[in-house]
Amino acid sequence: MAKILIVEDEAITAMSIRLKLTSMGYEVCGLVSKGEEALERIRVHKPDLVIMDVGLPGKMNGLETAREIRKIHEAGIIFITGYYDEGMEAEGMGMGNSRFLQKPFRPRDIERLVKEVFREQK
Amino acid sequence: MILHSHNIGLIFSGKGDLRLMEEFVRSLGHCSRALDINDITLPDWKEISIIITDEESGWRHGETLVRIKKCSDVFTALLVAVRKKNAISRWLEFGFDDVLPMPFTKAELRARLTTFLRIREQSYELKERSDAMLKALVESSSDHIFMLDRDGTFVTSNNKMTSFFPDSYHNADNVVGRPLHEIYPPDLASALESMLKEVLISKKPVTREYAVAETAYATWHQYTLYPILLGAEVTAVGGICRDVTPLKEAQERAYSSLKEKDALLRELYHRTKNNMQVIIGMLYLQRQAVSDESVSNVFREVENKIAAMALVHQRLYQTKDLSRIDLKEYVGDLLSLLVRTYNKGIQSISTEVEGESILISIETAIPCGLLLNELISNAFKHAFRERQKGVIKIGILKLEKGIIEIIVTDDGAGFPEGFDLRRSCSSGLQTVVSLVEHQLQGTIEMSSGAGSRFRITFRDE
Repeated sequence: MAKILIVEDEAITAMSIRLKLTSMGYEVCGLVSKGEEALERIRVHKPDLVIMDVGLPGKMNGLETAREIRKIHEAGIIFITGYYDEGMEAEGMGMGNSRFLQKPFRPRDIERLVKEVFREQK
Repeated sequence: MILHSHNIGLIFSGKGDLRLMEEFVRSLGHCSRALDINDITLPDWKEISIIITDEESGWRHGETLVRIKKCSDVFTALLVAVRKKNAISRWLEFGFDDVLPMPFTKAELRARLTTFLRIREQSYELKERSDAMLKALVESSSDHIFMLDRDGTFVTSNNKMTSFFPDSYHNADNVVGRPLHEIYPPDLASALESMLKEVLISKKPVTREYAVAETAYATWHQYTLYPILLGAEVTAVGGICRDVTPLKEAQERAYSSLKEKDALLRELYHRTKNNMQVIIGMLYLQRQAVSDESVSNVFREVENKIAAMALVHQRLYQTKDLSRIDLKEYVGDLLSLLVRTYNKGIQSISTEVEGESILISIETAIPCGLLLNELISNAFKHAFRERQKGVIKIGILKLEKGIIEIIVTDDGAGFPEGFDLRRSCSSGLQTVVSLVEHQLQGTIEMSSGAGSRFRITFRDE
């Protein structure tokens, strides 16, 4: 069963994503709100996919956290963001095996992108 | 002035006539000066009150003499002594002031000289008066007003130089005769030299602003250089330097305030979007606790409506002016959202947006998005039952007088015969009518046959 880590500081949004993913049959191996916590979980659980909010509290934002993740583990990344700009998307997409989703989105939008990323990984 | 001795310039080709004229002039108490027409730059020319020439020199140098006369600051009479009386009117038309028929008596010459010297005196007084007024005007200005020659040397200047450079020892007197680079700081002097070149080439005024940090605090100087033309030639360049620091500071304050307002508005749109994200999340979580499919669908439809409204904020957040969005692009976003919701399974419904880019305000965009969400969702849900394919089209057009027209069509089953939009039991269609007629103050028409067609018009105030 594929493992997914959710990095999102907004609780309701994080819960709705988790519910959607579990209803699709995936294992959510963590639900964290900061980049530093995400890196710890990555080392332990080695997830197949990370749902990453770009605007995170703490020392690292979502893009910086993703750059650190890429150094230690290969996983698909779906960036979710309310602060969108083309440069940000280009940087995220440049990391490879990644997608961008603008807020507000519906859980079914997450479903579509998760399927796309896993299809690509195969 | 008339009583004083004047310089009378004489240009005679015949030596006998010249001697005679010199004697006449001297005997009348004036100084005679034999002029060299080939050296018009001689300072002597400026001191000449009246020029008298003979016919031969008049014909030969007439044009030059008339030009010298015109360039003179004060009236300088130009007379010609003639032997042929019949050519008088031609000399006058040529630009000469009077004709002395030869031979003439001393009394006749005195009368002519007295008349023209009186006119010269009057013109001199007028010039002095007008110079004094001009000087007073120029000195009363808070701007530094000056004139440069073509090489960038100061010709005149009022005494405001020190207002712009308080630490400078320059005033009107010691600026005149000196080039720009001796007066201004090096960077500014070189900028002004470039402006001067531009004016000389273009023969048009040039205005530039420069920050000058010569004093304890930086000030902004606005320099305007303008050509002083004599015919088609730039003879000198006038200059005005104005302190525009308060204006610049006000502009800066207005710009900062605008930037701050933009940032706040952008943040507001962002937070609204995020709040809508949370509402969608809560609805989704609630929906999972509902087992009844029809209730679950109600939740899903509400999620779509919120998402349709959120799209407006998303577009606004991305625009430069933060107040208007492109209706066509927005409709494209909305269609993508609804296609992802309804296009499932084997059914394939295609969508098209046609028309022009029209910018609309948030007040129009929100109700517009909601009613389109309703009509398109309706088409997806009901128009293509028991069909595998279908098309939903949206046309956007700007009509006259700022009226916007949106036409939503599908090639589905259409509405039953005699269907009345306003008597419909569907709360969705009732909402559409209300959004168009009540909120947008527009009109809605519906027709049905091979598919259905809604035509909506409204004005974006």
